[in-house]
Amino acid sequence: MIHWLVPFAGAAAVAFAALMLAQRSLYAAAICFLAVVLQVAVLLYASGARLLALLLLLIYAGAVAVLIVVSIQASGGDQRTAAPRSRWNRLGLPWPLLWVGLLLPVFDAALLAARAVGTPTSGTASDLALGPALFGPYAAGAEAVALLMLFAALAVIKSPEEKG
Amino acid sequence: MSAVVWAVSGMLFLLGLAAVVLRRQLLAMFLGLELMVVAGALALGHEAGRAGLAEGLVAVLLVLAVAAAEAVVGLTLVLRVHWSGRPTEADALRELRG
Repeated sequence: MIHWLVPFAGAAAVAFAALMLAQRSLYAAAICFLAVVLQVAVLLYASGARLLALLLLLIYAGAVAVLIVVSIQASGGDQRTAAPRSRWNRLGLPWPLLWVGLLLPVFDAALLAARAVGTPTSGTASDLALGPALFGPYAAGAEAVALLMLFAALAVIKSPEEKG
Repeated sequence: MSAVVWAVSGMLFLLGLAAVVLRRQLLAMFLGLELMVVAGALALGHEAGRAGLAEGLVAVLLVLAVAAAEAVVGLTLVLRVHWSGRPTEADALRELRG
């Protein structure tokens, strides 16, 4: 069943990426991007990189997608493309697209769960080796990336000259 | 399975590149950039997961963390362009100050 799931998730990812390119509404494009990330996480899970799939969801579907939506709202970037009298949504967001994008991962998860019945749920060997590798020989790289993220967070703060 | 994932990764990268080249809104271009990063992470993560290489997973994890930091900086730049009163479109940003 997993061999059938991979082409399905891949086709869904490419379809939503093409839809993202075609959308005029930034909100709809962000939803399409979120759907692509969810399908890519399914592909990573099917490839044996379970922990990476979870981290992809945490970082992209959790943090980056929220940042993108907040940025669209804060910048008013969707004012020209929004269609307040749209049949589907005041934001010009097509509800069928939203539902398909968010329900597809549920379908994928059901397929994965059906496959996993009766099999042990322990992590794969690569997942188990990720922690020791990350905080062992690659600890300096992990620390450098953590510092980079701290400096990136400082970019949001306005300087006194900008406030004045 | 591997060929399918590589094909999907390549198509996602091309679609992200098309979004960067064809769209003019900065946020839409940013979405294309993130799609390209995700496509690269998919290809690398698939091979690392299939071969059971922890080093590959570490590389993907670090790439994702750097991409998250890049997202913060990029979105902050877009917001500052908006706060400065200029339109958040690539065509309107042709000059640097200073």
